[in-house]
Amino acid sequence: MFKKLLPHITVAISLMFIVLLIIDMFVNDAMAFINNDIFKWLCLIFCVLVIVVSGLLMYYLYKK
Amino acid sequence: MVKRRREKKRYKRNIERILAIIVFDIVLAGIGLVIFSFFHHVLPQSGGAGVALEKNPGQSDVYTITLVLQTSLSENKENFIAEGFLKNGANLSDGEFEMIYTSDTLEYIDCSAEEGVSFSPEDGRLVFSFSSPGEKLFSCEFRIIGKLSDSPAKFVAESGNFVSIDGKPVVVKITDGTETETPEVSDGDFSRKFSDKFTGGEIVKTENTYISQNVNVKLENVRKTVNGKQISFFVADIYVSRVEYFRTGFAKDTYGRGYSQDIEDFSQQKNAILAVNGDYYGARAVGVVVRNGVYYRGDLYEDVLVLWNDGVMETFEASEFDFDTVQAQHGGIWQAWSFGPELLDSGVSKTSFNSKVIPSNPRSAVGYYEPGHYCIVVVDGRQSGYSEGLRMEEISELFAELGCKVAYNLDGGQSSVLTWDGKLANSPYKGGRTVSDFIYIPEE
Repeated sequence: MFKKLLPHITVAISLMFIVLLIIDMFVNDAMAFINNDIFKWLCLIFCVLVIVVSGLLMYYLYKK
Repeated sequence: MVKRRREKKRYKRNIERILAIIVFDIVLAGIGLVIFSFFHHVLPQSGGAGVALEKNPGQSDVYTITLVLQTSLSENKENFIAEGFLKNGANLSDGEFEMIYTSDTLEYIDCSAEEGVSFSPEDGRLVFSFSSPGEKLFSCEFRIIGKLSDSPAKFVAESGNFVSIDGKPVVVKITDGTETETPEVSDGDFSRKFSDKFTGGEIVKTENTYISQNVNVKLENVRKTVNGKQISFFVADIYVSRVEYFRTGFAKDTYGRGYSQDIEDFSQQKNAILAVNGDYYGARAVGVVVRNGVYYRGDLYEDVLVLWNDGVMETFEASEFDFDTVQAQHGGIWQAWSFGPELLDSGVSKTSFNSKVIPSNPRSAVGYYEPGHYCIVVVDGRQSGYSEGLRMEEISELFAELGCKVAYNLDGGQSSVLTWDGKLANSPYKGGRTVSDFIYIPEE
């Protein structure tokens, strides 16, 4: 179940990043969605998830 | 035939499944954004109870005294005089104070100390000792012997056992020896300058004016058509007897990110005749924050608005703002905001701005005529048929029409809120929102 959910969480976070970056770059950077601690923590979680998902994918391809 | 139909069905099912997955991921991202916004905008992120204290240059034990030199002085190797004054009634306790200069660039000629001050010249530095000095501290003559690499040149005055100075920096002004070229630094008292604007002690209050012996505020609601749009805005014309009456406050009296308060609550708590939202410093981790003479944060964000202790107001582009230099001018900083952009260029309206929020919006902005005379403008917006808001260049033109020399945009949109006598005066978009800081004029 967790393995199935992992890529969805990764995609959801990357969609969040796209929204936040567009707001910051083109709409209103005064909202400071990028330059804050929550965003940094989210970045860290995203990186960990990407590593885990990529690792699982590599393992799956190797097995196949 | 049957096989093809089955394949088609399978293909259709797969497409539906992929679409369902995409919708699921988008919904998941939406939930994530809501949670993100909740933590980012609603919950306090730092600070906790009490004021977050950072080093205050105005009250620190190291002072940078900036000497602004005339260009001709640096070119012609002329002598100049550095004079030290205590301004704004600062009380200098007994102690020592070092003025360090670069002996490659400056040659020490002579120094005269006033009563209560003694000094000893050494190579590259002057050590002053104070014992209950008066307003004037010293007058030192130097000759420029080398090329000044910095403009303005700097003396660094270091603490030694220099104890306290009531939070006010020592002001050194430079003259060319005749004392004619240096502008007089006001002490922030405008009661005589605007004596016709204040009363002798009584309070005169009407529906839209408030006059006391220290403040004179007039609020006007203007409705007009701008570039084919219906607009409603408020202009508050403000005179203060001392710069201390142009005050700011934090939501819940607490400096820190994530704190916010309703403006009506705040105005009643502070007994404010007029209050407006500030720069919403609490939404960002950076941006200069100096409030009521206290330094909280010095990292640059965007254009900066500074109100000094002598009542002068000026805007700076982030690239040209140096905190130490600005702090050393005009008797120190009384207020500093970081939002912007600056709306005028030497009193003339602008067409390009250091901001991405250019379209019509509700706006809050502050303007400056001269020391002691300011204005606040709040424009309602995003309400078709009533007021659509102003574009950045339109509010710039409005300030130019009002005759302001300096104008600066504060946080706008739903944050644009204004109270008069404790009650909401404007019609904010969706009723307004709670904000992290305010500008207010206190009632007496």
